[in-house]
Amino acid sequence: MMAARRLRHRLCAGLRYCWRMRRRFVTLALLLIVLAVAYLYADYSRDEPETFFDDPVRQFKYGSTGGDRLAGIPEGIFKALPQLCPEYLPGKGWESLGFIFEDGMDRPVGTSKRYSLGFERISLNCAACHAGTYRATPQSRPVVVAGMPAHRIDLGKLEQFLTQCALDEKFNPWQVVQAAERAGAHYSLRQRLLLEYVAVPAIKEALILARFRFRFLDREVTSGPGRFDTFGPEKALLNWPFELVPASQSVGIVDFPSLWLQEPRAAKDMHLHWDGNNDSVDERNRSAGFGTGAVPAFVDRPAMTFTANWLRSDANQPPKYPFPIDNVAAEHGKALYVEYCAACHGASGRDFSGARVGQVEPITSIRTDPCRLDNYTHALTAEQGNLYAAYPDERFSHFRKTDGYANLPLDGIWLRGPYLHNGSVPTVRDLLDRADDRPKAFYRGNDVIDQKRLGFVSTVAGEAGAKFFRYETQCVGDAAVCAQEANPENRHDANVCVPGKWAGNSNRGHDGAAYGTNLPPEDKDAIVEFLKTF
Amino acid sequence: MQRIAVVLIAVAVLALAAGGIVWSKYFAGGTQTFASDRDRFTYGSLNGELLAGIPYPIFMILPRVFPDLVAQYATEGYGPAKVGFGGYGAFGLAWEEGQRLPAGLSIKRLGYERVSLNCAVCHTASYRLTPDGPPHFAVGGPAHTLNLQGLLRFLFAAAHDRRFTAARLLPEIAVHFPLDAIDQANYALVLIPATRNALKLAEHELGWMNGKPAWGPGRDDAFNLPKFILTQTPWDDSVGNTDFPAIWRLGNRQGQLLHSAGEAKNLYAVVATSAIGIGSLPHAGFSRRNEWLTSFIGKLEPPPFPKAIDAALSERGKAVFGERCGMCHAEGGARTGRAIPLAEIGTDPEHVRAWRQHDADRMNAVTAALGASHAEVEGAQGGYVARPLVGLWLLGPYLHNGSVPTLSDLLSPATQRPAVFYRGYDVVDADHVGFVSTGVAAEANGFRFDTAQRGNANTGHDYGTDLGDADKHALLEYLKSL
Repeated sequence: MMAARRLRHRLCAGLRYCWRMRRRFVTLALLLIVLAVAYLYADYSRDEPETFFDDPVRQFKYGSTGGDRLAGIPEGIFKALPQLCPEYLPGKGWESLGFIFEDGMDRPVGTSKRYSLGFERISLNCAACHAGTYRATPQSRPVVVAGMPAHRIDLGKLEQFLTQCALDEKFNPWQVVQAAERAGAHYSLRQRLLLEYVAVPAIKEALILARFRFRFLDREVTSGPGRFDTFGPEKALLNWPFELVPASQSVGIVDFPSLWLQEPRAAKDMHLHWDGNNDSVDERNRSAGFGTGAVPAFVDRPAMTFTANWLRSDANQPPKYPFPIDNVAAEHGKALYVEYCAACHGASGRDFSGARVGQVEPITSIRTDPCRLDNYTHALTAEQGNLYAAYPDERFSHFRKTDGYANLPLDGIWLRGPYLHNGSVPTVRDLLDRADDRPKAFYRGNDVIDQKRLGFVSTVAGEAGAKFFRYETQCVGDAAVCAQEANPENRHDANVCVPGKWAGNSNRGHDGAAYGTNLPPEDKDAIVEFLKTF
Repeated sequence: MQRIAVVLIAVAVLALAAGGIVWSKYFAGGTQTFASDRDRFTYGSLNGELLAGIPYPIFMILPRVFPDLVAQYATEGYGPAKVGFGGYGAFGLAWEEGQRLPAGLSIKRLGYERVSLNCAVCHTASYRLTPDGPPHFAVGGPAHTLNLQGLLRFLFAAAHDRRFTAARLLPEIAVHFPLDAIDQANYALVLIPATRNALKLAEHELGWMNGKPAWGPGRDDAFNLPKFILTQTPWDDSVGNTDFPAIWRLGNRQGQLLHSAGEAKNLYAVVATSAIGIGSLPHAGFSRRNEWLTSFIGKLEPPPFPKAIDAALSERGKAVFGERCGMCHAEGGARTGRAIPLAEIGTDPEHVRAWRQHDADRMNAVTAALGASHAEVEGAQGGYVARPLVGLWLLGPYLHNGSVPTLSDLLSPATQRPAVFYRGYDVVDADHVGFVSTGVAAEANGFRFDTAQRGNANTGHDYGTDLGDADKHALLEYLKSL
């Protein structure tokens, strides 16, 4: 009896003790949960871009547009992708797609980094399409120039690579995380779980959806390096059913333009974009930002403003031509330039005065490939009025459908080859020849300067095992084979885009006595010499 | 006591905060500013958004979520090359470059931005002078390209689609609009479901149109709309499909009958009842706004004929006009602005039959009960009103039901007028006066209009058809100048 009572007493005391302890335990546990949730929330909502505000050029090359908030992929995965799917790359690493790596930077020019949604995330920025390299000789080191057209980057191939990798069985949460860790990433348990169960499946789904939205690429000629259908992504954002767009409106591939000296362009209200469809520099910047994923609710306004201001500053100039110039010939060329070119292209590489500079030249007189012009339609213009609609000061209201291509100033023209809006003419000297005499096929993607003809070397098929992109302006080769193609000569005689395999690639136009193509060769050489001073 | 006071204060603070949120999310705003009267007419609100406003962020992204439905309903009844892309533009709305939405769509903030219709949606003409040329927009002209029925059917189909959920729409909206947590909840729990249900309700109210011939571009069932919706008259089998009219120079129509069949006797009544038709309730500002509209369209002018007119030929045509047409169509003609009895005019009778005096009485009772004054309408006057001709070159296709593609066809005997043609293609036919309605481009881009369908007859108005070719030619030249 006594023993039983003692036991019960002890038991009860123990229970009371337990109960007291449990209350403490529960309190402690609740506190821990609250702290954990607060930490997770703080981490998840942390939004910190890597910035270089002390160095505008570096900010341009490596800063964020805000697109990484929408489209950024975790840094570890970005670094791992070339090792995970090497078979879908033309060569080794991101470099093989034309990305530029500089010393001391572990990610290429044209990428941004931002801590967002719990990860360092990488995405593209302006410099992906607007920073390039040149070399004096095949043996020289490439010089990186901010603001010049990224004539070596192949966005079409990038899109292909990402899609093919995403659709590969290897693109499963475990192998992707493993590849990221092999590429140097260190993940906490929480990050790994997040990657394995949320992020990687989400990236895979997003890449597959993007592939579908980017199907407009299947309806046009291969862009190759330095070019892209730049209004295609905007149509993809609007989710246009591309199958219903007429073939004649489906080709919108253009060269990436240079971004130097924006202030003089803004000051003269020049018509921007190749067809001059917008005369507002700010609107053009926001529109271009869409290409990096910087949609209205995600755009990084301070960073965009910073870069826009730099683009408009005097510091944003093309580098001077670094090779010898024959001053006598240049002087002769200047007189010819003034007579033939200055009214449309400006007095010099810095003085953009001229009656028709920045104005739209009707397609019936410029007669260059009309496909890009026809690709930008009134229907798209109208719908663009909805973009940035939540922000009255930023809403797109300047887009207009035009009837030709805009006359551009020629600052830094030596770095802007190949020429014309579609990059169909390899050198300035070729552009001064009659359209029929221009090269029907050439190679793009070499960054060695062609000092004689001005532009990039375009006659070399490859280098160090890598092939350059063969650009065909029309069907080249066996006449019998060509005869089986639609529009093999890629003619657009009525100045309206005629569909066909080479549509968009024609090197026609900017041709005739008024354009200097009838001048004797030595005069043309002199003009080339003078243009080196731009 | 102190405790109670604290609780009361806390409750009051919370209630105030909640009230503030409700105010800011559902009521704040309400003003619009415009650079010109033209813009006010084209993009200004008639206060319809209180009753029939769709949240702009939802409206804006619908074509992006349902591109397949745009393609289906923008092209139904049209030729193979009719575009089924380009968002709302695919429905033939007059969309000026640089504007958020097409003419006739107002955006007004009441807590959130709301889209509603105004007069300009049916009364802005869109036209081009060459097949590859840019579109021009004439304020007050008939919206002959507007596929209103297709647009409505698109919205209704979207409302029935499983994609019409917050899970699908919200991410699309969030790309363009910054949404805080309250906004997200508001869209997910209130605005998206409410919009979806409102569209289904609207579809139910428009169910009667499914059994009737298609409106096609540039037309609606003008008086069956108020009959079946506003006055809730039991559905009948009438067909009142009618072309959108131009609303130019209406100040000159005092004392005349208005609408196709004389359903109104003064301009204010036309404006007020039309405003009610797009959801504008007779509340504060209703009559003042309608008076502004009345005076604006009273003086509105059409654009001049865009090509050269042979002055001598036109002068000869003027004489023919005076002799053969002036009595009914000249300014101050004896019968101008009066109803020509059906038996005499001989045009399609369906519109007249669709709207009787008892329908008008019923509508007058409803509009009076709603609080509108001076908004009385009449039953159809037994025939069609002979209108003074203003901006005639942009009014094609002709007759009240748009059954005759060009003026040149109208001057031919009914048996020689085209039995089938294509309408809604926006290229001006300057020779025959009207829009291009035959040929490859018209058939590819236009809506197939079959005059054999009920309400579409191209008979009657057998006037001037006996003239010689020279006189017709001269008359046509003069008609271009009107």
